[in-house]
Order: sequence, then C-alpha cells, then structure tokens
Amino acid sequence: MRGAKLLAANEIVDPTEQTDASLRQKFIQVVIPVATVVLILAAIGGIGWHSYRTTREGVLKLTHELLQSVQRYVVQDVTGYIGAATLGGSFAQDFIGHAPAAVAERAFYAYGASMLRLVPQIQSYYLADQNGNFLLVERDPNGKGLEYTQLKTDGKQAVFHHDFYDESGKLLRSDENPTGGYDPRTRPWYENTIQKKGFAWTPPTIYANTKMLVVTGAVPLVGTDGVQRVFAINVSLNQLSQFLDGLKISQNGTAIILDKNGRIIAGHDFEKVVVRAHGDPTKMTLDPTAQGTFRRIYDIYRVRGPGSHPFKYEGNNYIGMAQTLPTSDDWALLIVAPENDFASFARQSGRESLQFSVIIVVLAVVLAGLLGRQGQRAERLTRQLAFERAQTSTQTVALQQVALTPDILDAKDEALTLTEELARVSHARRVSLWRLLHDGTALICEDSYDAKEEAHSGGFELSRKDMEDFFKLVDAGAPVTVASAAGDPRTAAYERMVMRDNSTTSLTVHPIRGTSQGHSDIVGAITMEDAPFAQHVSYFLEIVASIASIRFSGMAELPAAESAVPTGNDAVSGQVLPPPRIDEALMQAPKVGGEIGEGLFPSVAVMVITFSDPVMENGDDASGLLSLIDKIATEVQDIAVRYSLFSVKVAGHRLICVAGCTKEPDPTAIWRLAEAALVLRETCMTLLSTANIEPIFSIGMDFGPAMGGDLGKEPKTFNLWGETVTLAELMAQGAPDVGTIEVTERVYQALREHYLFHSRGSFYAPRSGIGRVYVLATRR
Amino acid sequence: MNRLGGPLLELTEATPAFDESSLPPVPFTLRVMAGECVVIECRDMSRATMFADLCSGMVHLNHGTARFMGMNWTELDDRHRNALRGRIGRITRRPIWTDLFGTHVSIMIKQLHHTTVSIEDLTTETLHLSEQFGLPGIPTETPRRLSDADIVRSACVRAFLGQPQMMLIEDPLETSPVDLSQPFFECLTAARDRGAAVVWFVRDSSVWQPYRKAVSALWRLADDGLLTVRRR
Repeated sequence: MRGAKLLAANEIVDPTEQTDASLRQKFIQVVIPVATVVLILAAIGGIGWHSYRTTREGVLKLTHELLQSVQRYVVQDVTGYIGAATLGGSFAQDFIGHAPAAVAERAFYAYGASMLRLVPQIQSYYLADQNGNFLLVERDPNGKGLEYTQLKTDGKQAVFHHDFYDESGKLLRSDENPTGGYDPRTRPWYENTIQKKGFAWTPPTIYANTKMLVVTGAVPLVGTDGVQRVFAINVSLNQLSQFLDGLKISQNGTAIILDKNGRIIAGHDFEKVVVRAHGDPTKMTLDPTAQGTFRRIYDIYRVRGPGSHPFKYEGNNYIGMAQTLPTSDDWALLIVAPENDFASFARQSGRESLQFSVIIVVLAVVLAGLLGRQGQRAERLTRQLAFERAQTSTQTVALQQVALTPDILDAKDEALTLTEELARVSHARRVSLWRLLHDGTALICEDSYDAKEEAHSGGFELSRKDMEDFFKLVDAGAPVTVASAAGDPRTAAYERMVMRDNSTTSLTVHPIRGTSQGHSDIVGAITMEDAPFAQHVSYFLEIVASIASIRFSGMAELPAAESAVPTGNDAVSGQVLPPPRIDEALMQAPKVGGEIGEGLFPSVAVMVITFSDPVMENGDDASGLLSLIDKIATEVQDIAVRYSLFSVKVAGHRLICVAGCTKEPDPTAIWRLAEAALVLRETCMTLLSTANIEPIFSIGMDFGPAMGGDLGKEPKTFNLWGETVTLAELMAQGAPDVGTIEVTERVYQALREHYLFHSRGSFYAPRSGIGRVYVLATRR
Repeated sequence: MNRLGGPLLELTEATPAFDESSLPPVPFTLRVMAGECVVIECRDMSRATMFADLCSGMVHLNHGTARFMGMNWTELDDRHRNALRGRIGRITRRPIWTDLFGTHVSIMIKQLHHTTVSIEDLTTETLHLSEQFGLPGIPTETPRRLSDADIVRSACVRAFLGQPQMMLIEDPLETSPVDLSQPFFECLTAARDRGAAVVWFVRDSSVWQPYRKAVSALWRLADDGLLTVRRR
C-alpha cells in the first residue's frame, strides 16, 4: 500500500492548484503598479523633454533675434567708429579743397586739431601734395596738447619741423629733426588714394610714435590752386578692440573684425594677437587652436556669405554671425556665442522639472507600495478566510463522519474513525488515543492511526516509571504543543519510545478529562504528531476527547465483567483438545518412491493446486463437504503412490505435490508430475461435479532446482522452498481459469514433445523477469 | 490525496451536444459522493461510453456543468484538465488497446505520464493488481496476443492502478470469459473505502446483484435521460 500511496502524492501536475487566479492576482498586484509607475515616468520624461525642446527652440529664436540686434548695434558702432575717418575724410576733402591755397594749411591744422580733441580714436591727420609737401597733426605724446609737424626744405636739407601746443593752443616749443629722405608721395596711403581716385584704406600698420596699430583712410583732393593733395586719417585699432572687448554679447560671446585678407583688425584678446604676431600686422591671422570657432564661422562666411550660421564645434553648439561692414574695405564682423549661454536656463529648468518629477515619482511609488501592501493584506485575509472556511467544512464533514459511525460510544466496538478524522482535520502524521489506567501507572494505546501508512495500531503501553515527566504533563490537564518533542524534557521520553520510529518531530498532547471512580479526573490523552493544523482543531479535539472519555469509562467496566466469568484455565480444562498437528503432510516423504535427500535438489518438479472456497447456498450443510474433501485427499494419496511422487502436502487452501527430490537430476520427475496433474484434474472435476460444485481449483507447475530438507525434532517435517516452489504457486494463483493447469516455460520445454500446450503470453514478475506462461491441455 | 466535503462527481443540468455525443440532449443531474457506488443501467453500452466521456469532461455541454472533485471541466486549461483525468480509473468497451507496445506499457502509461512514481513502485503495484486479477505476472505481450480473458484482466488492472479518485466502469464482468467478480468486487470495495466514487455502467441488473447491498444508488440511462430506479 505504501507504493500506492505514493502514486497520488507524486502527480506531475496538480489539477487543484489555482495557478490562473494567483497569476492574475500577481499581475494585478505587481505588473499593473509597476507599469503605471513606468508610464508616469515616461509621461513625465516626455513632458520634460518636450518642454525642454520647446523652451530651447524659443530661446534660440529669441537669441537669434537678440544677436541680430547686437550685430546691428555692433555694426552701427563700428561704422560710427570708423565713420570718423570716412565722414571726416569727406568733410576734410570739401573743407580743405575749397579753402584758398594760402589758408589751406591753416584750415588743415584747425580741422585736425578740433577733430583730435573731439574724437579719441583718431590718432593723427596727414596732408600731402604732389609737390612733396607734408603736414601732420597729432596728439602730443608727452602731454595733453597737440603737435604740428611740417616737412620743410631749407636749402638742400629736408627737416620735420615740430610745433608743440598746449591745451589752450599756446605754442610751447618748436623742434626740428631730419626726415631721413621721407617722401609722402611714395607712401602706400598716398599712392593707393591717387590710384583709386577716391577714399581708400591702407592695411593696418604700427604707428611709429605710439606703437599702436592704426589703419589709415585717405581721400584725394584738389585745391583751389589746382595742386593734387591727399588727406589721410589714422584711426587707432586698439581703441576699436577695446570697444569690441567691452561689448557684452553674452556670457561667453565675442566679436572680431577681419579685413578682406583674413587678418585681424580688432577684436577679443587683441593684445595677445599682437604679441603672437610680434607686432607684424601681416601675421595677425586667426589662431586655429585658440580661435577655432572664429575660423569656422569665417569659413562658413566665405562660402555662404553674411548672415546667421549656427554650427557645432567640438561637440558644442554655437551661434555664429557674420556681416560685411559698410564703409569699410570689405571688413567682416564675426560674432560667436555658445548656444548654452542662452539655452542653459532651459536645461536648468528641465533639470529642475526632472528633479520635481523624481519627487513625484517617489511619492507615486510609495503610494503604489502602500496600495500593493494593502492589496496583499486583503489577499492574505481572503486566503485566511478561505482557509478557515475550508477548515470548518473539513471539520463539519469529519464531525458528520464521527456522528454517522454506529456505536461510537460503545467501548466494545472499535472507534477507528475518531483517530482517522482527527488526523484528517489536523493533517497530523499520526494520532493516538491513550487510556490512563486507574492507578495512573500506565497509558494504554487504544488506537493509533498513521495517516501516511493509512494503518491503525494499538495495544502498546507506556509506563509511568519510564516517563514520569510525560505523565506529569498529561496529569496537568492542559493541552500542550511542543515543536520539537526531542528537545523538551517533558516529551523527550515519549519521542524516544513512540515518535522516533516515524521520524516525527512536533507533538500535541491533549489530556482527556472524564469521570473516573466517581470523580472528575484525567482518564487519558490524545497525541498528535506533526500536526500543522493542531491549533485550528481545538473544538473538534474537545469533541473527540469527550467521546474518548465516555468510551474509556465504558472500558473501565470491562475488567469487572470479565472477573465474573470463571478463570480461563478452569473453562478450558474440561475440554479435550486434539493433539497438535505439527506435520500437515499427507504423505511422509521418505516412505514414498524410495527417494530421500537433503540440501539442494537440481531438478524438482513442483505442482501446486489451489482450492477456493465453494459457493455455499443457504441451507447447505458445510459438514457434507468434509467427506468430499476427504475423498479428494484419498484420491490424491492414490495418485501420488501411482506416480511415485516424493511428497504431497496440504497447506490451507493449497495442495503441494513434489517429485524429483534427488541429488542427481531425474528426467522422469516432471513427466510423472504432469501425468499426476492430468489425472488429478480429471478426478477433482468428476468428484466436484458429482457433488454439484463448480470446479474451484487451479493447478500450477514448475520444474527446476529447489532447497529442501527435514526440519525440526521427530517427527521431522520435510519442507521444500526456492524459486521453483514460488513460481509453481504463482502459476496456480494466476491460472487463466478454474480447472486449468498453468505451467512455466521450463515445464513446457521439458514436456512439449509429449503434451499439448497453448501459450498464454509473456509475463513479467520481479526476480524471475519476463517469462512465457503456458497452459497444459492434454497428452499428444 | 485530497478528500472533499462535497460530491466527487457532480453533473448539474449538464446538457450534452447531441451532434458530438449522440447522447440525448437532455439535462443530466447526478451527484456521486466519495465512497459511493452508483450503478447506471444502460442497454446501449456505446451510450454508456459517451456518458462516461461526459463525466470525464470530454463532451461539449450546451448547458449546465460537469464537475469532478469540485472543479468544472470547462473552466480548466488543457494541462490541468488532463492532469485531473489522471485521477480517474476507467474500464471502457471502446477499443483502447494498441499493439504498438506491450500490454504492460498500456497498463502503466497513465501513471508514467501523470506521476513521478518510480518504476519500481509502479511495477510492484501493477504486479499486485495483476496477481489479484489472476494474471501470473504483468503481461508483456502485445494485447493482440493475449486471450480475451487476460485482456479483461489487464483492463481491470489498468483501471484500478494508482488509486484513482473516481472509477468509471463499463461493466467488464458480463463480457468476461472468466469469472472476475471476486477480485473486481474486492478492488471496488477497497477503492470505495479509500474514498473513491464509483460509477458502474451495466447492461442489466443480473451483473450487479451480488453486490447489491453495497450499491448506493441505481439509475437508468435511456433516451429520455437519467432516471432513478427504485430498488427492489
């Protein structure tokens, strides 16, 4: 039965498991909150990103417009800055050109002086004519006044005559120095202007007096005397650089002005440029390492022309603007500003929104967690409710079962259902009912039910002197559950004696209170081993305890009833019992066939005949059968003698006939036995049909080695055992029909020449393996 | 093994689709409790086979429900439905034996498929039942080579193997060339004692008479449905 029990417990798929529901619940409890949080996160992220993009686009658009305004403003300022040269040139052209020749010099000085006082970026004015005359007005390098210089030719030597005036126009001193062969007509500003016949710019040069970079604008004019003159203005580029440096475009935005040859005219960090070029204006080009962004916008400008050109440089976004400056010699104004200067606040705003979103998400997650926890609690409660409902239902069924058991309170009847139902509701491995003897010295096990083995046992006894602590526990009268019975001194002895065989660990002891000798007392105990639901079955336990106590009180009366009967010995002494039959052999082995042997016999033929109980109709006298059986036995003895069988034995429903118990193999043994079997079958058939009884026997035969010998004291009993005997018995039990002779393959092999068989098929049996089975029909 | 408080088999107004089952499309209501043995007389054993199919959740229902061990067949997925059928022991008149394997495989395949029981334990159990039904061992020949009587014996072994929770038995005794009533009744009683429900389809009352004292209820399956029969 143990194997059979395993079958149910080892199902691969338990059809009762509620996977779908639990999966759905898990889905609701876990997946949906997580998905919701993820969705919220995605939504917040999406909104943040969209907001950042929109803000950035708006800011860039605004920035663009702003930069355009800045650009206009810069252009205007630069135009104004160099307008002093261009407008001043036009004005001087007209003013000096129309002045009478005699006052032209004074007009030049007057104009130049007033302009130098008013316009700080102007360094100096020149006036030269075709005759080599040269006038210069500039600021006094040593003071706040002005210095007038004139190229004079005294005889053969040409000198520069310098007159120094203070702020109020008073002559302070005069000075002269040689010109060193200076001829204004050979200077680039003069030649360019005469060649261009209009306003012309000269590339930047270092102004000798101030060591500052200047650019010279010059305009030709013809005086009233018809002499060709050139009026030139030196504008300081350092002033322009300071102006551009002072421009606030953005946090990191800068501007620069390049001439048509790509040389730097003015701009951010102009001093560094001057130092890098060692003061040589022709080397003042853009530095690829330090001014990469300007180079990029300059390249774009040269390809695509003026305008706004956003670009990316070394991973950063820049806004670049380029414009050709009007009234200049194709100078280009370049403005570069990192996009971050304008869009950084959008990023900052995005980051802050993200932080706020994270706070919201954290709150949402906390809320979701609380919700999930609440859900789990609800589910746990539901499970508990369902469990309790199932428990109630189980207990109700169990109670019903107990109530339906007839004579449950009758001590004379066994009440196995009590322990069974208790084991079922408490899921205990084993439940035992113990009755305490009157004197309290021992506990008698009335019933013990092992739920795993599905087996009842009982009758054993626990003595108080062996386990005093356990008895005290029972006497205390309070139900106790011990998780580890071996570890608790009160139950350790019980564990050792009762529980260890079953390898159970926990123990619940429920003392049974009842009436003993007229007063309330502990009359026994219920023990449950490994009962996980012990605490849920308290009221059922009480009911069982009450029933048990009533039964125990009934049992207590039994010894008194027994005592009324005379003692057993007296009762039996009057009867004459037959002497014990220690040998159930029909034939004494040594007396038949002259064979004798002991130990291993190599070729024994064994025949087993099994009889089943005949169907008795009501009213038939069973004693009539005895003569029939006797007749059969007599016939068997005759047959045995006739065919020289070694031994014939009766064992309950079985008749065992043996032939061939010799040390040497006896080839005739199996033949003799087969003949005996056929004759025996016929005889039995005839006798049974005469008595109007269905044939109720079947015969099995095998042939092979077996162990045997005389056993015990005189009269010794001959017994035979081994596989051959087992198989012969198996053949008899498994015969296909009543009255048939079923034989093994070995018998078939030995007898097939002389008898007719039909095959029943191949069958497997443990130990002997697969073998063919035949049915002996008749002789050939 | 789970024991239930409620009925093991419960048909509630279960109306089969006639096209599929050829059962009368009338509502069937039947409750079989654990340990009960219900005999259903049915002249047409093919109808009994279909009714057993209905109890096993193999027949489509137009209305009503068929529950086994408290579980509605239609609410289970295939995996659990098949596993639940593993708890039913069935003897059927439908030709079920295949000659692809030895009879021993056909007998044990249900347990091999549904459980993790070791071959050793399963063989022991099969051998025990085989011997109980009068086989000299576990038949290993293909079913075609077995005699009719041994086939009936094998069918009984197959049905009672693995302690099924419900037995759906289309009577093997009537058609058996040998008298198997004793081991059959023994196994039947043992199964009921264990808490199994038994539905036993018979052609006429002669078959179950020897067991009449232990029969819980008697029904008749006819064209007009399932009718209860008063026992004499």
